[in-house]
Amino acid sequence: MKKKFLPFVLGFVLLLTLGGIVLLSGLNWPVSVSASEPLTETVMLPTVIVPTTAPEKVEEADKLLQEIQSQVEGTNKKYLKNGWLHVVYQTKNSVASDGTIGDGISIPTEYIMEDWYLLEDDGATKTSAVSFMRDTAGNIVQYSVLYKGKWYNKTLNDITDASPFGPKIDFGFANRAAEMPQSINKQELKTENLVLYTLPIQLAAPIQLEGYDQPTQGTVEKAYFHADGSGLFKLETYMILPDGNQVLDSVTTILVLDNLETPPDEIVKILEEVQQ
Amino acid sequence: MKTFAYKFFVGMIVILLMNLVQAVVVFAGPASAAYYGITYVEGVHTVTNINSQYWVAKLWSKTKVPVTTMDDIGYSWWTVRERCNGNITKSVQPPPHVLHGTSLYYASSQVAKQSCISGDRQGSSMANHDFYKWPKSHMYLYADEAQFLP
Repeated sequence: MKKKFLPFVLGFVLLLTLGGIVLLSGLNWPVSVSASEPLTETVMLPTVIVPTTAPEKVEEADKLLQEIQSQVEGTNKKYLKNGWLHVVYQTKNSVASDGTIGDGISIPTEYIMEDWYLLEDDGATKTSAVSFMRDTAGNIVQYSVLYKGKWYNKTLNDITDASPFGPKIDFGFANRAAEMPQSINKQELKTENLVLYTLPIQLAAPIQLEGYDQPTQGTVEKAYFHADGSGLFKLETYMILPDGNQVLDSVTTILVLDNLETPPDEIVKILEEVQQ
Repeated sequence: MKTFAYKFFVGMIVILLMNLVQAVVVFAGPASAAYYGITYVEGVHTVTNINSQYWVAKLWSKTKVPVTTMDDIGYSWWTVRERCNGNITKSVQPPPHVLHGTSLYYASSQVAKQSCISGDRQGSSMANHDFYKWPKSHMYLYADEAQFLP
């Protein structure tokens, strides 16, 4: 019985070897890659300088961090709940995007985002959403619809994956502050009825960002919260230049923040169109 | 009863078919190709978070098997994009670039993150990789990569 299959086995092994050799030699490819040539290049990512903190300052840093977290938690409790979260915010960048993103559309340096999110699980996840980017005159630059875990960009006609998590209506500032609480500074702006928290992040070595004239040594974030505890009002980001000077890079201002039981008919219609 | 020669012949056919299938599987894919029988070239991208403020897109144009010095190696166009909720919020296009007389090209593009209230932020890198060795023609190979960014 075993003898019966011997020719097949021999033929199989022999031809497996021969076939491989013939195919590779025909294409002039050696079986192994030269180990002397690098196939990848190791690039060190920039590191952040963590300032040392005197023990007596640690308590103060923790207190400031708790203040920020308390502000954010209060806003989250009010708006991140089941229902339709409506957020409108305006962003102004110092550096423009290159070229067009399709069909003559270019990204303005100043734009307004209007987002509608259907939140579930006490605001932890978003199941449906519509997100508009408009120019400052109110014209739609592009808009996308979230349906079954995918973003459908209806302007560019493309599809990308979506994360399941709900929004962060402080733009993640509290999380960043928690990474470096010893760097937080606080200033009360009584005439504007705002509280300003400043968070500098210094890099160990400057990096050259795409589109910028000068390298940056880090950033300074300035988060303006409403003094009455109603959440974040404005977020400014400054670039730290190698000479130590700071230049304003972007400003984002929250214009509308609300949570509603139902969205407007326009939003319902857009969602229905995608679902069909 | 079938002869030894017949069984040997059937075995050969099966193995040749398997080798052909293997060749198709290994060399299929948008980021790799044979360069005119001279070498096997590849376009590779990575998208990596640096910290809460920045991310980086990296691009490699490689010759692999065998590692071969090319007259031109690099990219003819490269687009690095950031999306928030599927909408493109940042798009940069580093100018076309090639190196001469080398087998490996590398470039990186560091990007400042844009405001995105949902945190649903995605970075992407896409390019046409450029390979040329005289007397053959230029070969342009498309490759891309996208990742969520915190």
